[in-house]
Parts: sequence; C-alpha cells; structure tokens
Amino acid sequence: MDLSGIETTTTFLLLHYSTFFAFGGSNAISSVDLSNAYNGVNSYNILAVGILTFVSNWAGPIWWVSAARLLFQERWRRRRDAKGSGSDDRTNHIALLTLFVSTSLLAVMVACSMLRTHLFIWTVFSPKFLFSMAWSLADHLVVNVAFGSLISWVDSM
Amino acid sequence: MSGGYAIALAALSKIARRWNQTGQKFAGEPDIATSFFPEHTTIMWILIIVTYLDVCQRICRRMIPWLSLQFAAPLSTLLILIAFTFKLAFTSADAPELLRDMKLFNPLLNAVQKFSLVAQARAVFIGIALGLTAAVIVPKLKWPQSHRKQSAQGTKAPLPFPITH
Repeated sequence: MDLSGIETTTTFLLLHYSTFFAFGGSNAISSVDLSNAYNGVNSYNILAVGILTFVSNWAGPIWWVSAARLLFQERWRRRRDAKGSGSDDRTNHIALLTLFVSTSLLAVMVACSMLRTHLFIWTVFSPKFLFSMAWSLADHLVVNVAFGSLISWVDSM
Repeated sequence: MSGGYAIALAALSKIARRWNQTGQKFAGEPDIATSFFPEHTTIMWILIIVTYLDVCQRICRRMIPWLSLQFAAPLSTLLILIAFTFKLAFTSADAPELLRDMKLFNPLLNAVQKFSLVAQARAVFIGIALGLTAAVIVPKLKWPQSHRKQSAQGTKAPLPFPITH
C-alpha cells in the first residue's frame, strides 16, 4: 500500500487513539489502571509512580510512536529518496498531530467554560478535562513530540 | 489479495474492540480479557509466551550485527526470561487463579521466591535499559548513517549483515 506522508500520519493518529481504548482506557477516571504503577517502587514516590501509571496506561500509544517511524521508513525506502521528503514528512506529522490535539483541547475548554454551571460538571466534564490534559501535555508534548523526535534523531544517526 | 487483507483487518478490529469492553454502552459486556482468559488460562499463557518469544527474537536480530549469534541469543533469552519470570511472580501474587492450571511454572516460581517483586521489577528495568543500549544505541554508533552507502534495501535491517562467529 503506497501511503502518502499525510496518510501515514492519519493512520498513526487513528491507531494511536484506538490502542489506548483497546487496552482498556476510557474517559472515566475509574478506568485508570494502577496495577503496573508500583513496579519496582518501594513506597510512594510521586515521580516514579506517576511516570509508571502514565506509561502503563498509554503503552499502546507509546508503542505506536516508534511503529510510526517504521511506517515512515518503509515509505521512504519505497520512494528511494530518504532525505528529501523525510523532513517534510516529519514536519507535517508533528503539525497534523498538534492540530488534532489542540482542536480537541480547545473544544473541551470551551465546553467546560460555557457549561461550568451544568449539572454534569464534576461527573463528566472535569474527568474529560483531566484526560485532555494528559493527552495534550503528557502524550502529545512528551511522547509524540519529544520522544518521537528522539526516535527520529537516533534513527537518522 | 486485497479482499483477504480486508477480511483479516475486519476480524482483527473486532477482536481488538472486544478485548476490553469500555464505553458507556458496553462497559459491562463480557470481553476477552476478563471473561475468556480466566476461563481458558492455557490459551492465555500460550499467547503470552508467544508474545515474549517474538520480542526475544526481534531483540536478538537487532543485536546480531555487532554481537555474533552465540552471544546475542543467550543475552536476549536471559532478558526475556527475567521479564517473564517477573510476570509469573506478579500474577501469582496478584491473581493466583490465573495460574491454577499451570503447574508447569511452579519450579520457576519457587526458584525466584526469595527475590521480592520490587527487586525483580528493577532487574527487568535494568535489563531493558541494557537491551536498548545493545540493540539500538550501539549499532547506531558503530555504523552511522552517513558512512553507509545509500542502498535501496533499507538502512536498519540486520539481515544484510553477515552473521559472524
């Protein structure tokens, strides 16, 4: 299948979110899985437990970040010009992901602000807002942008 | 051929959606992880072992360019063994009913009884860090992209390199 750069990014985006929900994640705070949060941690250490909780719940999406690199490599190998379109693909990838996550974050923020006196503000809107924080700050900035750039830097070494 | 792909994709996506039921409408429905696997623990452990072996052979293949096979295979097997043992120990502590039909693993469990789960988890983390260095960082340092001639075969597959003894 000959995918363009944008199509590869879209494939990654769809599967990035799908694997989160396939592994048991949802928009309810009660579905946050803590079974792997204390692996190797003796007592409560907010940094270690926080990182392990995030990584164990976002394990599928994090795997997809490195799998996306493999998808791009296959595309460049098929096109036989690794350097020319490589940086374009990479820039478009980050841009599209940022667009997606910032649009959804904007929508959630507008909804929470306008419906701040709604009955469901604590049961529905604030869990969604917390998950949007996790998706935009931790998943997008740390995993997609920072970790993804680290992968592409190591790969291009 | 594309029809076969479509059918396989449809089947896989159905399985993926049924693995863990979440969502407002289907949250309480029976799913694979909580109703099929506790019933058929043998199938579950077979799938787990196949997954770990797949990861093992991928790590081993990545280390082969700079380590010969006779060093890469035992090292990757050791890492996977440590990780799998930790999984067994954690399951026997967390959900022992999943191990009730698997007497096969009892010798392994008894052998690591004296190590705490925390120590085992740390051993796994250290092993993964070392494996990452050996499988990804060292090959990149030894064969940087700029010195390798541009080939159409791809730039990271270890198979074109000869297996040295």
